[in-house]
Amino acid sequence: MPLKRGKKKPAAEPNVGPFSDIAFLLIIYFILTTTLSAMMGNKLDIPAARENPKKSKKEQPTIVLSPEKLAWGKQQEDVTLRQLRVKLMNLNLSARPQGKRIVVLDCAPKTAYQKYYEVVMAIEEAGGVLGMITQRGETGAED
Amino acid sequence: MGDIAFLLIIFFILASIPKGQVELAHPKADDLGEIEKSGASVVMDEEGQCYFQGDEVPVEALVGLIKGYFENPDKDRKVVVEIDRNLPYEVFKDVYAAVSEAGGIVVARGIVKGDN
Repeated sequence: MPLKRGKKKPAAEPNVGPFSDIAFLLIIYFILTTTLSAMMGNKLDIPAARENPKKSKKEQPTIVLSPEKLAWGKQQEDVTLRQLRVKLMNLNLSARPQGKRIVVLDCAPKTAYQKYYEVVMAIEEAGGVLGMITQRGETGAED
Repeated sequence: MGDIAFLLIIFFILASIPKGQVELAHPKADDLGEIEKSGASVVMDEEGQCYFQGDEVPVEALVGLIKGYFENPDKDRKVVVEIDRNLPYEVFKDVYAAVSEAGGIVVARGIVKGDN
């Protein structure tokens, strides 16, 4: 009679089937949560700052910005951002020579960057050049 | 199949968590255009801390650093400026002035109103 050899019991192997299910679920999750958005913004035209206190600023439109208000011109007429855009567009700045496009922005120290950014973008959209006041009474802009 | 799946997982994990990015709230505005990611970047976070090319730097040193960066004539003059939307003017004005004084072109980054 032939000897019966005992069958070798197969080594216990973990069930790897669910691993691939989990892997695909994670893939789907990260595909949905990953955002590949483009960077948005605008190029700003800011001349190098120079002190020029004697320069007449009568021809340069002026915007006054503070946390409480947005004002236009020497009369400091209260305006909304939309009204400001209209006034800037009416100046037809893009048709002027380079040195005549300066729009002076007098900003209060506590003004948040959000408000400042919106005004600066409006100036840029109208074809203007930003003139920053670096110290009170002096514009950081050249002609 | 499992190996490919895990490789894809690792890829999307790395793609969704960019390294060295400073967290800040970008300002919102209308009519923004797409900007290129230029070589130079200046970031000011919500605490007013300034970063140039990812390195923490004092604002006073920004002019010199940017000028040094532009010494290479192949470098683009555009400097992408990112500032937290809640910072006051007295804190961030020096950033704009520094880039302008160094001869750079400010590219102010923001997000379009309505986007997160």
